[in-house]
Amino acid sequence: MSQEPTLSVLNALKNCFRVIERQQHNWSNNLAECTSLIISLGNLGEQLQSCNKVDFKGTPLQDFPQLKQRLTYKLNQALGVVLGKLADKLSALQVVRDSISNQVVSVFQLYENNSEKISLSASLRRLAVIPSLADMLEWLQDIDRFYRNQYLKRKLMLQMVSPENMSYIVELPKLWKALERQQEHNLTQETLMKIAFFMDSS
Amino acid sequence: MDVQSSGASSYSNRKPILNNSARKIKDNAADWHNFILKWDKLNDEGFKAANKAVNSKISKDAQTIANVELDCDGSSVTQKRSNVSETNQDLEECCTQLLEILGKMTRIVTKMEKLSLSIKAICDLEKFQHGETGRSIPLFNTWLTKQFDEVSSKLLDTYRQELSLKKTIIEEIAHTSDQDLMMTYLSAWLYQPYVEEGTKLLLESMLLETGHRTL
Repeated sequence: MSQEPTLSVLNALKNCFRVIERQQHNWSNNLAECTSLIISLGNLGEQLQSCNKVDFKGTPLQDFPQLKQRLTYKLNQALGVVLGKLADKLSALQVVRDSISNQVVSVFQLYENNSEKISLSASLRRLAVIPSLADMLEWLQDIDRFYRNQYLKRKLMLQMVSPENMSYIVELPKLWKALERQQEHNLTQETLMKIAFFMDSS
Repeated sequence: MDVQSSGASSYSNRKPILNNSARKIKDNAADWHNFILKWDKLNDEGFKAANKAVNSKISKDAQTIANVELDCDGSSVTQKRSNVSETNQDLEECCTQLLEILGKMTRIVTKMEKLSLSIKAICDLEKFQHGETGRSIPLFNTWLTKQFDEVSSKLLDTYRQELSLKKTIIEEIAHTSDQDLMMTYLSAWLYQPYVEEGTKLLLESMLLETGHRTL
């Protein structure tokens, strides 16, 4: 059986991991920006909550006409601006997810096209510096799933933001952070470590 | 007197020569712009100070409660007291800073009043020269002179109202223990509820009309 199909899949894997490595930087940068925006969002939520709770009538602010409405309007406006920026960042995260997904799909297509030419033992064979094809394909799927999950969870989190649900907005920074903590056990980093020798090999 | 149109047509490369009223209005528009910039800068500085003041107030209140608890316990009260005096000092510093900022803001509004008055005076002069209907050819592009008066009066009202709000906030911010109210004072300071989007638009239109901004 010829070595060529195995080599072409290995090359595709190498390219794919390169893209993942690059996209992972994009992901972390965008995520960091998202986190600071989420903190602003929570802060605005707190301000709106306080403004709603305060009865202006009994305070020194009572003589200022329409102050409560005006302040609420301004705060909601600021909230809208932050949400707009977050939507931009979220689409940047989607771009990362899509480009990783596309790469993974193309590697799998190549493998499936050649699967008859690659024997089982060739798929499972591993060398000191090169993990087996089967392992690397599995890691790719894990990484793909990881980004899909992360993106979806964050998107859902932001979709639940509404002016009626201020306490949720106030809680959001905590929820967002909790999701980040799950990421601490960083799958992509670990996988990239495992394939470091493979990437350096020619 | 209407040199602008003839100047503009015969020497199209040169800047139009403005008559005295137009020059004064143009300078006024630039002053409005600069005062509002200064105001916004002071607003940011004031917010930082107010934020610090609120934080000191909160920690002071927390320490007072802790002290009461410690009094029952009878231990390490003296050390806590020195902390309280430190926060008191912080709070006082912030309030002094806020008062200074309020002073500067008050001076800006006084200058704004003068600007508004001088535009009113130009309108009066125009009435005297051209009668109730005013001049037939606008001083700049399209605005009647009284429109400048309307805009500057609107801007003045806005910043007067903001100044009075800020004065109240400074007077009260250190005297409440209601955290929601403190937060509201802070947001009312930062977001300037009486400065509407229209206010900035009016200013920009005035700058455009007087030639400070180009299309």
